[in-house]
Amino acid sequence: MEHLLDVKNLSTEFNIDGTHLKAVDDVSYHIDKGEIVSFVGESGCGKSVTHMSGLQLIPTPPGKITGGEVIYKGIDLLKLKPDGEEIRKIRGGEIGFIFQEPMTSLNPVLTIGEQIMESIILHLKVGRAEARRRTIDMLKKVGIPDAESRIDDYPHQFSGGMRQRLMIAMVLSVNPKIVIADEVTTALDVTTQAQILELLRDIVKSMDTSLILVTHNLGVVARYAERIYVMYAGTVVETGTTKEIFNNPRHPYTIGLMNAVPRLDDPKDKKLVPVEGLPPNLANKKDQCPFLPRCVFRTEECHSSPAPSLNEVREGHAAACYVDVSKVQNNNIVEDEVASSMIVGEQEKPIINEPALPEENLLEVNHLKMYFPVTKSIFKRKVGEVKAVDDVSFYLKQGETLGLVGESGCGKSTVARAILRLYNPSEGEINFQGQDISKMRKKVLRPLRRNISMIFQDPFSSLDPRQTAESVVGEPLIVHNLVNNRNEYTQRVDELFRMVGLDPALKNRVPHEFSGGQRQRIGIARALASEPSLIVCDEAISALDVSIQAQIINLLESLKEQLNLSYLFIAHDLSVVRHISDRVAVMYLGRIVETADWETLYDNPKHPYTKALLGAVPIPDPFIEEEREHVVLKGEVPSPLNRPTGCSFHNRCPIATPECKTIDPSLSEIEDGHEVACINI
Amino acid sequence: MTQFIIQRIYQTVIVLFILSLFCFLLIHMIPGNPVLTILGDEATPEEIRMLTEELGLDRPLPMQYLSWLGGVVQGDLGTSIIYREDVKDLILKRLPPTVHIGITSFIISIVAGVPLGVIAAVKRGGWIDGFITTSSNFSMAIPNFWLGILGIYLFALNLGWLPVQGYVSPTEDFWASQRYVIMPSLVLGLSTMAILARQARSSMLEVIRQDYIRTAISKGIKTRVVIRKHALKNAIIPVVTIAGLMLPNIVGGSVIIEQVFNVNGIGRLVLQSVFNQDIVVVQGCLIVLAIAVAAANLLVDLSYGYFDPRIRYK
Ligand SMILES: Nc1ncnc2c1ncn2[C@@H]1O[C@H](COP(=O)(O)OP(=O)(O)O)[C@@H](O)[C@H]1O
Ligand code: SF4
Ligand code: SF4
Ligand SMILES: [Mg+2]
Repeated sequence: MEHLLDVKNLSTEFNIDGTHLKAVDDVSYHIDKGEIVSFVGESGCGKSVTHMSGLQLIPTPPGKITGGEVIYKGIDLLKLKPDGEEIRKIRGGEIGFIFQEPMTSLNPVLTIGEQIMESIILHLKVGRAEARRRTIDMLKKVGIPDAESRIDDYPHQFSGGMRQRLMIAMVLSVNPKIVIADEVTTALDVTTQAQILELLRDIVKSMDTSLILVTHNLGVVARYAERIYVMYAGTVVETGTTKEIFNNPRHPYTIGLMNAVPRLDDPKDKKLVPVEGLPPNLANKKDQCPFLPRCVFRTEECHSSPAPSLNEVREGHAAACYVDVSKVQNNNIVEDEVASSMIVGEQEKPIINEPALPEENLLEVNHLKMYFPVTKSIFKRKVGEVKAVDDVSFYLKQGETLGLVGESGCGKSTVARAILRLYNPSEGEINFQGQDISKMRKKVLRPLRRNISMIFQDPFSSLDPRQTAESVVGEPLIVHNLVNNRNEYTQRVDELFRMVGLDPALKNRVPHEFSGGQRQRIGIARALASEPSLIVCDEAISALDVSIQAQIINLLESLKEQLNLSYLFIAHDLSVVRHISDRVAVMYLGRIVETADWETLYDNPKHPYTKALLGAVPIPDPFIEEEREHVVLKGEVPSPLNRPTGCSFHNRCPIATPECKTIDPSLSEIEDGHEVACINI
Repeated sequence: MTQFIIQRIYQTVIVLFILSLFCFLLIHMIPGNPVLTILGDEATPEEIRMLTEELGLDRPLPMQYLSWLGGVVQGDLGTSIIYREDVKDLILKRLPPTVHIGITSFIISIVAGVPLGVIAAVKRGGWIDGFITTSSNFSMAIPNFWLGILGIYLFALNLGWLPVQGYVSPTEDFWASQRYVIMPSLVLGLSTMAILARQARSSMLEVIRQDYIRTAISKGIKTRVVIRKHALKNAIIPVVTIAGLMLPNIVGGSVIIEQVFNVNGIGRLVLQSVFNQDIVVVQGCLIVLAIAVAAANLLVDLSYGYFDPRIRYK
């Protein structure tokens, strides 16, 4: 059968300062009509470049398509002139591209109507009035309220989720045959992600359009894709139907990915198995299996042979690997490797039954409020308040991890900053080690500061880029006067480096010489330097790739055990929070709406918002996803400036009753340690 | 947008207020007694007393300032010590050539500079880019007066295409006026043109690697349309800022240009008055120029609203 799009042996290079970076290396794939096909892999593995090459969207120079064919309707797209009539008809007209960054992918100085109409007029050859009518129809179809008036608005007047809807409207308005969605939900919250992907799927299915879903999220793949291509280091390493691949993964990298991600349905004690090491440098690639240095299945043959090519292992399922992993007792290998690669877990502790937590709380936050004034005009007249955190209470014991989840903008980071006293709380108490630090003067507070540290998403973003790793880690030692001389300082810095699994020899390097995972290790070392009892982790692992993410999660967990640390773990990834937390609090619009121990919260959620959040998280298992009901939460998080009356969730709540508009529910205990703020449960 | 305008006007008023303070204090910045400096050593006590009174120097400083400012607001800039003429009239007489040349040179620098920068950016790395970039770097390094003299020598004396120097008002003879104005305007505007070209080039290069340009290309739009419709309006925003910042440059440059081309404008008036120690005239000219620059800057700022909807809808 002839495929709708048939790509054969595509290769793309980037030539930068004389080095050839093989971003795409001999990739072949095909798409059939109406299919949803997913490309999975970590960042930098060439997913975007692969798809941009086909439409000649690669910046040349430095990019160069060095070989292959991209056959669409019998024409090789690579043979067409890059700015010629023929390819421009296909580009945008027949094959649409939706990019990752919704915030920057629309032109800020043109109205959204103009941008969508432009496509329609160009490809469908209709007049402006007709194009405008179609645009409004399309805006309605993608769920933009008041489409008739909003068509004349500019992109900055829309939220990130809405902008991604606009992109979908723009691309689909010309009835393309193929839509390439490149990480379209990566920057969005889970509920928005679910909204966007459901919308995209429904539209392409109704139009019989094919969808290429590029993502690093295995859950998204399992929920939406029919067929998969797994990419690694610029090559396709495995392909097959979604069910086949999840059921019977045959490439060690695919297996590694699956073991590295925490899942909502994991047993709690499941140890994540990170894929150790780093992805290879694509410059000067050797003709060898690219996964070799990180592979736990490698044999002599792998070392001595050229890079393996895709081999059919079953009907429609191919993997690029010399070893038949289904015949190897892989569990043993994996366990061994983990043990030997664990740097921190050396002093194997005998497993004691969960140590009893102390009676008194390490941290107790009572009725914390954090309001920011909203000023208007040049006279800085106060016209209102953003109630970023509005009456939040929780506690944390020594040695415990409390997870704080919620969509972006719900006040998680503000809570963290208030606890660190980077903000002065408007009201409420923050009792830390028995003292209220919420109103403490800076001078009195200083000696206490060393007991609370913070780990950020990117530890270097707020630091001088010329600062060495050593000074990043050592700074708290000096600030808090924790060392007496140069010698002690050096010893302590080296010790910290080893604690987080870094070679102290790297300490004179500057930030950009480290990978994302290494940078986060440095951030952790810095946080540990002052020997704190509490560490606040604000989205500490969100920017990392899944295989690296698992390494950092394991590190945080073993450090906690060794040093009896407490974590306030803030993240938007609910699976990660479930994996790492003892108790979890769910925030919505500046309030905690539900809190419980992790098991209760995930197995028996009561608040409709918690249920919606959990329902939106895709589970990386196509068989489970098939059975699951997908209830998508409507609407967007309202601005904290005009919080809905009564229960602030009432405008999105699926079980709201009329009273919800007037009664403002407060947290009440429904069973031991499980508190919910809802009047209807 | 209304708020943006109000805010800008408010800021302009504050800036003008501070500038007026400087202009006023100028008279006190001259070392020694200003009256003695002006009159010279042979002044009689009577003359000294009269000038002191005329300048109001016998009153307390804040009072002096307020009455001076009051005068300025009502259009009374005092009387020239040397010419014994009303300063306002003096300035009004000398203003047209300066404004004419200034505006012409500003327009030339924008109309030529921006497209040159855009072309250089689009053809980045090619010979056109190299030519534009090199010549704009070169233009910025040439001093105005040198270029002016060179121009006179070449186009007026040697080729005889343009008049050597002087100024004719457009109301008198429109075409002759253009012939007089073109060379001083070009000379005055050249460095601004070069700076705007450079700014337009770098801002265009910045814009064409933005995600929304990639989006536009992925829609199948012609490169030419992408540049004109999607890139230009974004790229122009920082150029407008720089253009506003260049205004004082043009005003300052006019002092030299008017000298070289023998144009009887404000620039020359300032220079003559400084040499004559005619402080009242210097004060008057400076305040008028400050108001002109501030007003032009205000217009430039307001044009942001046209280019950038994010400001319009604030
Ligand atoms: N414009 C570019 N210039 C140089 N290198 C690039 C460019 N775009 C992509 N690359 C390189 O190509 C490789 C593949 O990138 P990409 O396709 O974006 O990965 P993915 O989409 O899978 O995250 C990376 O090593 C990246 O650094
Ligand atoms: S070919 Fe060898 S090294 Fe490569 S993935 Fe397979 S087993 Fe691992
Ligand atoms: S109080 Fe009402 S609106 Fe709020 S969560 Fe409960 S049912 Fe929904
Ligand atoms: Mg990508």
